[in-house]
Amino acid sequence: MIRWLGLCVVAVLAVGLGVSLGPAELPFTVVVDALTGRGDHTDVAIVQKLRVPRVLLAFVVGGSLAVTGAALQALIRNPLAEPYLLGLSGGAGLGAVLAIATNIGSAWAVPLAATIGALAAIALVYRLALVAGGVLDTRVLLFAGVVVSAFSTAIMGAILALAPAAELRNAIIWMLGGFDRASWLTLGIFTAYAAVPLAFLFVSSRSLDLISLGEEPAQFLGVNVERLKRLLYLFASLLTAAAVAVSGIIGFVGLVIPHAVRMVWGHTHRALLPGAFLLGGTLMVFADAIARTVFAPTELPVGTVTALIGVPVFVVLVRRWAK
Amino acid sequence: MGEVVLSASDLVYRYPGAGSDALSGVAVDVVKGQLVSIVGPNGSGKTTLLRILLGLLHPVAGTVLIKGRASESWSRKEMARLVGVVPQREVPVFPLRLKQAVMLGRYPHLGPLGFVKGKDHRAVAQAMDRCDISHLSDRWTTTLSGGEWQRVRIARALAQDPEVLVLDEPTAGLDIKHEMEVFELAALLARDEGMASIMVTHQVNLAARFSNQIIVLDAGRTIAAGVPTEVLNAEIIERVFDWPVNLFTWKGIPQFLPKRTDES
Repeated sequence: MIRWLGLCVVAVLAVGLGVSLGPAELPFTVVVDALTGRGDHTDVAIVQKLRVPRVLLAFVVGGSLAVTGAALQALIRNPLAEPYLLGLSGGAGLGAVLAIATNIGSAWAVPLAATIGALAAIALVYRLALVAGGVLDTRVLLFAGVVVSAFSTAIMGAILALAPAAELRNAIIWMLGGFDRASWLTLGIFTAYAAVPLAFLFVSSRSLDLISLGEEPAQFLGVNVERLKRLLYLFASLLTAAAVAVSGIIGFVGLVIPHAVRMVWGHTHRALLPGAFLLGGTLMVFADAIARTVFAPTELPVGTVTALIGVPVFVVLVRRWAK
Repeated sequence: MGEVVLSASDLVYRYPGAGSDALSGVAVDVVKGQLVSIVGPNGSGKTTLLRILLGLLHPVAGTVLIKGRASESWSRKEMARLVGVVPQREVPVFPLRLKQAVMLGRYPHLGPLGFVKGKDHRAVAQAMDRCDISHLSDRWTTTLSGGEWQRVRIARALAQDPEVLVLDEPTAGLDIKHEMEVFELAALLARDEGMASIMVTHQVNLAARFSNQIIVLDAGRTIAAGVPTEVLNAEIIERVFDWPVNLFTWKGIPQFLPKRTDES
């Protein structure tokens, strides 16, 4: 209970810090005033229209990616699974880039295109993994995920190279992930797409406990495995796609966060998923704060920050897992 | 004879693309309060039979009735409230506390939101008690010995509060003490708690001593079925396992000692 309280306090502090930090240095009292609409017009606009939606978006995106990672780890029974390494993020990114490049729809349609991309990517990953033999080997699955990811990145690179030069830099930065375009609209879009998948994953906590035992034991304990798998892949794709559509490709959150939560709260999903959401949100807010303050006024892509944290953790995990 | 809980007859199964039937004309009746053992060499169809009984494979011909109802018509959740299974191999990836692992057996009884109630805790405590693992309840599943892990999995199946208990080679890799504990427990659950139990095993001698009924499978066919003292003999065992044996009787129960090639 104390650990949960601690995590909530840290999460709230992170959000507060995230709103206070930025290129325009605003004293804490000014931020508090601006939240309630008092003070200088510019300050109010910066806080209410830029920083608050940005920090909230970073929080929910980080939380969602972490929850998705935890669920995928249970599904394929491998602690190295996460949306980025399984190729879901890459596929979603490709879908989103295609939608933006061909100008097929509004900002609301981009997550849909990204979802289709993510689903296509995971289907391809599965096909590749099964080429190695009739039985699915999760190590091959992860390998296939990395390959599909690289493939998606290559295609995106080609599309971006052929796009008009002025848009090129923005698109590349978007690909690396960031919250610089965050607004109440993008927050709304994300929430609309993410609410049902998130609710489903939270309600499925017990089923996730069982599926992580393996498909047969899960069936014997009462899980409709085929239906659960389909829904998990669908909703993991939707969540990843929603995140990619509003904030680009941000890797390793789904890997690092569930692992950290597992060390403190264990592996049952009723504790793991809420813990992952809170900690993932907190980490993303911090990562975003680092991204926009270290070289201010120039912003680092937040994906760079999460990769700098995530890759060493990945290495440690691989070493531990290989034993 | 008690109530027949699980009944299969005339089962035929052929794996897609296979040249011959994996099972042909096999029948099983699992009765309340009885332990039924299925023995036979590797590849004789034991696992196929179990998979059909548990609804994971659909037979080409024949029927499986669970409590008089066709097995296909049970949802996985309904089935899990009735049939507890201890699968053959299971390697934990994400360690749980032992008590959490046994609690997974309550899943088919939980509501849609998965809240655990007092009766679930009681069922788990009772199952752990039954399998003599209560003193280990805070241990991580990855730190258990083979025998302890097997008892945890049996306790998880018992926490399902089933009427049928299915054990798939539950003593593989266990030493004499742990092997005996599993057989003792299976026989005890049948005798004292009226469990209808079915066990696939390679331990022909222990199966003969502990089971009420034994089914000998070879190449997908039933070679012998019935009370061990009545249906087992050296000729059947030699033929099915393709190895010469000496026959002994211990308290009237046939026991088989394989011969060395330099013994006549």
